Amino acid sequence: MNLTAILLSGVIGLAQGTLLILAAPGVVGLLRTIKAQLQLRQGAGVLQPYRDLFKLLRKPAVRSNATSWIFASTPSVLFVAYSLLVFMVPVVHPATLISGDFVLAIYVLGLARFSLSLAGLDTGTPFGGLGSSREMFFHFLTEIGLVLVVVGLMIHWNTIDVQQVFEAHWRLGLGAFFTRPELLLLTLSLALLVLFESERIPIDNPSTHLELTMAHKAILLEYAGRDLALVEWAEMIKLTFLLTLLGNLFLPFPSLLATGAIPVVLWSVPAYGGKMVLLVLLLALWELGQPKLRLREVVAPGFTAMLLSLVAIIYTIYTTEG
Amino acid sequence: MADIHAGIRDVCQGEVIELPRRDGRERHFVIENGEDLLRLSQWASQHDYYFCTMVANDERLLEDHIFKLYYLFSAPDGFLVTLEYPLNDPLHPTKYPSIRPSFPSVEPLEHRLYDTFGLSPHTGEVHSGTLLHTPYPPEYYPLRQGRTRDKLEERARAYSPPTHSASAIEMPEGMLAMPVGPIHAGVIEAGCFQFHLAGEVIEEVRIRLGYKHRGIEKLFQTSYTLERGHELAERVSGDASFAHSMAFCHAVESLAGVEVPLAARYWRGLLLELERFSNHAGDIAALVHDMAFELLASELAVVREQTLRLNQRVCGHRLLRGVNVPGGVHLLHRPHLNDVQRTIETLAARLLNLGKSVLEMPACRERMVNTGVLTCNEARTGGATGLVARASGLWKHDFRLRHPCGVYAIPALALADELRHTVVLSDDDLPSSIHRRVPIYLSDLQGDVFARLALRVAEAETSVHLVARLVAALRQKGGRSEPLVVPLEKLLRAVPNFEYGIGYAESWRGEIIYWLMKGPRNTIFRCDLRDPSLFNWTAMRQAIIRKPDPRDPTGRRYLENILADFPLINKSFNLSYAGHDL
Amino acid sequence: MREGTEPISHMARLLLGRVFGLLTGRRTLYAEDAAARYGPELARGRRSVFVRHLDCGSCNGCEIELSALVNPLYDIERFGIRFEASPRHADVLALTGPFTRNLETAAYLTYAAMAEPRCIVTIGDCAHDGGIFKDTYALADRPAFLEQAVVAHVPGCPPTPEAILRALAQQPRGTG
Ligand code: SF4
Repeated sequence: MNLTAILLSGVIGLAQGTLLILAAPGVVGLLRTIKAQLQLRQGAGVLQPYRDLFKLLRKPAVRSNATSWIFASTPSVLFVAYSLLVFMVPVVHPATLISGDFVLAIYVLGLARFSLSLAGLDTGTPFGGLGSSREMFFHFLTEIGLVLVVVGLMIHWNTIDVQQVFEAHWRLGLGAFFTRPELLLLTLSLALLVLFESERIPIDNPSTHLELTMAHKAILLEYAGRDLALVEWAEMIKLTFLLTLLGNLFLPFPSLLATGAIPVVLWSVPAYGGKMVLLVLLLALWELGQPKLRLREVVAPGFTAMLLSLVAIIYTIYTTEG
Repeated sequence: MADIHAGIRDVCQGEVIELPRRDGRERHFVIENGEDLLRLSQWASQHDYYFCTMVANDERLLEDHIFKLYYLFSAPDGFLVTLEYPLNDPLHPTKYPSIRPSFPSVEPLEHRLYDTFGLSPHTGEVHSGTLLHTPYPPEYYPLRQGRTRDKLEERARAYSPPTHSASAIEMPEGMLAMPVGPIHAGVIEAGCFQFHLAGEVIEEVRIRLGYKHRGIEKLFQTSYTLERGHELAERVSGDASFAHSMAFCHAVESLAGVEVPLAARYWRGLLLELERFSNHAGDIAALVHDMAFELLASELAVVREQTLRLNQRVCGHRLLRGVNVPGGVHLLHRPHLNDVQRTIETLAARLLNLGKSVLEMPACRERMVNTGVLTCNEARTGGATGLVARASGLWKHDFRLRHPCGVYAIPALALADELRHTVVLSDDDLPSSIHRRVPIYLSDLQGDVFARLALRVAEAETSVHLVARLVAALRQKGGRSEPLVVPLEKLLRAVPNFEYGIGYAESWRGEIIYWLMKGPRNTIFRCDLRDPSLFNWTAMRQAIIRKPDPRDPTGRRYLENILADFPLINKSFNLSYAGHDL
Repeated sequence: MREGTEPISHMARLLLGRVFGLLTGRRTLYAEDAAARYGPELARGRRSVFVRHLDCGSCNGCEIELSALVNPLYDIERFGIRFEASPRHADVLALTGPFTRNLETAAYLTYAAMAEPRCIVTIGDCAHDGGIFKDTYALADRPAFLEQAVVAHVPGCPPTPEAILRALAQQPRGTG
């Protein structure tokens, strides 16, 4: 590859990652609006998260005297970690700013969680500790699940490089994709894990006001002003990233491989938008249609996700050996 | 058999004087001997008496010059029995025998009396600080006579509480103490819970209330008269405004010895049931919301809001305030009965459909069944009351059935029939005149969150049937506009001073009891009120802590709740902090 | 009560109906049109206000009306107002109740935890001057710094949800 091509792909990667970061609050706004509309409410509109973030960013951060630098630095760590992830996935164009493999992605997620848990402990409040312990409990389930999904992909494609797997999927296309049961199983598994990783119903209730049922939010209770804005934004980025991953990896349509051609990009942007809207709608329906699980019972969907990946792995091994 | 006279004959050795009561359903005995009191209370507990409340009264300025205690029991034969016990030991003028061994539910009242009167039992520990926390000076005793508001205010102002240093809470090895509150994260009231955790499992919980103590009992005595006290009674616990004012009015009316006009009784019954329906709808909504089941929760919240709007249309206030007055009801205009009937029926249809989906859904059952179990035995010994007691299997514990008054005492309406079939005992037990859209069986009432939710749905349905009957009855009375209020002032003046009256109403939480003693010129010499929450808070603790499962014969299985389920349990009880703290 | 037997539950039907309504646009929202009811100024909803409720000894009547605000008939969210779980997140403290002695410290700490700019809206008569509870020994004076932070009061016992909504949406504009 020559220098201009590298530069160009860098610029494209940078641009689409940045756009995604900026669009993340909109995705959450859309999710909330759809949920509100399904409850026959008007809702605050897609732009409300922007207003909230904007306001919070202008407020000073209040930190309790009992906290240390861990608490203070966590918002930045979260934000940077999740932003890194966004730059690893192709959105509407195959070029990415950072090339890496899925294991890196998993551990960046893990790093963020770890940092958040530490911050929870650092607050010294009972809720912080509670949140941290629950957070770690969920993480234990998610991490195994994600690793299994990656192993499934690896066995199938002989690579865990993010870009190569994406390319492989696109080459396959949507039609052929559905003829491979192992990939479908992995899709389901990842979908469950997305719920886990973004702590949504039935795992956790992102909009709860009950301090004793919170996991993730319990840690956030202590953040104020700018800190809170960063953390919330980071959460939104994470959700957007996860949905993008799900959408682009497992709904490989349209193919983004015909690079550079502007018409394709023009066509893939609306397609990407459509996929996101669809996923958000599904998520909204999913969340409205069922109650949260009891804290201990979340093991069940966690194991289900693992099981699905395992079956996918075994199936792949079996079919390729045979 | 359960006649109190038999009990007195059997166990009392000293003299027991029976004083006549104006109301034929009440009985009053003076017991001078402490031993007799204890024996009699033990007899009562064996004979299924329900301990209602213990009222202390400072009568040192009256002829006897002592404190007196009035124990109020609800007898299974339908009588309200008052045992008066004068604290006549000159050596210990503030000590009384504790009936805690026979009625453990008295405990919170004993703590309370220690704070407000400085009275303490001979045996059994009491501690201060349940109502008056550290900002109050020691020996404050606000309810003693002669401590005027100004004096109290002055003392509290002058007092600077010791700056308390946060001391570590002593915990057994491996357990974690987790204090929560008094300020909570949602739009809820203030109270503090201290959990002892082993992991997520709640081993023990200490419930510390009193934060909202507003000195209401004293306020009744210093600033209100018998004719105006209902205004304050409405604001004791806002969600049961109507039941509170109804109980207060009932007490005044029983003091004056009047029965309110028939139409007023109908209206009271109707509005009481509306309040019940409205709050049950709200509770069901809140519970479903706590399970994070947003779609149904918001539908239910709409039902709840519509009931409040109906209240507004019927009597001009969303919480039904300003309707009850001593002597009757005060309606701004004659409400449209058709509107009431139609609205409540559509709302009920929606509520029942939604409630049914929640109760049937496996994911919801999974969260509710066996969560926060209050066994029947615990409910009985702990003095649990109202819906909580009924959900634990004591389905007959309802003051509308035990001590019918007002509209519930009119046989022609047969409201008791409806009430008795709130819980379906068996399918063939149901008379053809009674229809149950969401039948709840006795076997459902296991004292868990599910039982309380199910019973709420069932009681909401009953309320709708009762409203229908009352609307029909009101229609029959037609346009004949008889006055809805009887003037009480003169009658009250004729009542001798220091006479007392008891009033009660079965609110949606359970019975509310007012005990009023008249002072000179229709003032309130003493007002004691007991919200059902008082006993049920103790019951809630029972339901939360880890304990052996009584249904397991091997005794190896435990009933335990995890911290994350606490909000659900709390909501299923939905007790009033304000009503407890007064 | 037995577990459900119907092939398609009430809930599923409800949800399907809603999706259908959303996709076809054939539905009516629960709440009245905000502009018609509250005026175009309020209805524009381009604000972000996080509210934290603080109970200072209310009779819980005001809590009933506060929590009514989130139901679909008022739908406070469409005005950009949200109830928050932590004082740290909040811009506005919605204070109910007459300020009892026992809650004095807790109330003070709650306010202290908020980030600037912050303000207090008192809700209900008894949060204003004690209201019906004015004459008891159990009330503390609100410290001056809390008193200064009060930017609005919603009278009523309890105030209607609509009045509370108006107050929350109007006053803290400067802080939002
Ligand atoms: S203002 Fe009225 S309704 Fe509100 S808390 Fe005070 S007494 Fe209760």
